[in-house]
Amino acid sequence: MDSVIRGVAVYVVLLVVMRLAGRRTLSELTPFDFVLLLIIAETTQQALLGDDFSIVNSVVLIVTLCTVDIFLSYVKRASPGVARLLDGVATVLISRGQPDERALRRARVDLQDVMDAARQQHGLERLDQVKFAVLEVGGNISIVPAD
Amino acid sequence: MLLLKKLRLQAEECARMGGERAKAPVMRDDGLQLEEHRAFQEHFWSAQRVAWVVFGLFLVAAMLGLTGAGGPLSRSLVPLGDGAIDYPRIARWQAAEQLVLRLAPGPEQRTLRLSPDFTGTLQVDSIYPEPARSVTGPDGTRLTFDTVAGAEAEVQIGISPLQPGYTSFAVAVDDGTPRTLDMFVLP
Repeated sequence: MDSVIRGVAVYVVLLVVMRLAGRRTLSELTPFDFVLLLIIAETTQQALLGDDFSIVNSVVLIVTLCTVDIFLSYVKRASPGVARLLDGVATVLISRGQPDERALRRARVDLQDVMDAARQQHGLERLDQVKFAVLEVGGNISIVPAD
Repeated sequence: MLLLKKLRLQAEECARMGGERAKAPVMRDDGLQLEEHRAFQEHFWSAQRVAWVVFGLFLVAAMLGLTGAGGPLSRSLVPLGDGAIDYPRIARWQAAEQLVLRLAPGPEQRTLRLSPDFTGTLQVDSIYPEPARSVTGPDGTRLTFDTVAGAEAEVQIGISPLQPGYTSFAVAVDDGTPRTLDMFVLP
């Protein structure tokens, strides 16, 4: 029973903290972000397992985490509001070539990040070649080049 | 190829059956077909800023000891008999903690009495120095220690809370009045 409670509690805490920390935190991984991710994983692992390193405990935890994830996927499908809350929504950063300063500031994205995505996705050279830039739910920036 | 065709047909069937669920995102004024939910995003951005302040306050609380494992508020020093007991007021479930009993100079044999709640809620990992005698009965456990007469003595008891939540137990030295100690065990 403890393992299930631990699993659900850690899942919920991680979901809430990661969601509130914001998309920018772990979206575009720098080498240090990657190290941070590993540290978080290691810390979580200890909280999940406690002193019990048995196979049964790990199986119970894996099944718990997967079940919670499947359950939430159905909840999100049934309720778009919950889906927005848990997954976030896309944010338009540049519309018809015009940067939305407020959206950029609040989403903690700067035009350097937009140009980074523009170069990588379409080989664009200048900002005026970007028609739309959208900060997607997954944390990546998608670019629609100007005609 | 046949499999792909079959999958595509199934997807089209699902789209027809899905009705509203398969509804395409609305077209924005700027021509981008995307449901942005900007009002929701604005509220969420504000909630995030509040949450970051809460994260900061949580860290301050942790530094003060409100999450256990060190910090000025995590332990308490309570007078007990002619000495005092230093114990964790806020502890963590299954984490090692320590009770330290300091006794003023007294007789050669000192007795520490622990209520049944103590052994029921806390696992005793170690006792230093080892008691010369240990007696368990319905009124709890009596630990008798040999000490140097007329010298101060210190007893250290390593404990691990067995269950999260609020717990309390009584301790007494020699024939003194028992003192109830409150402990909150964080999960």
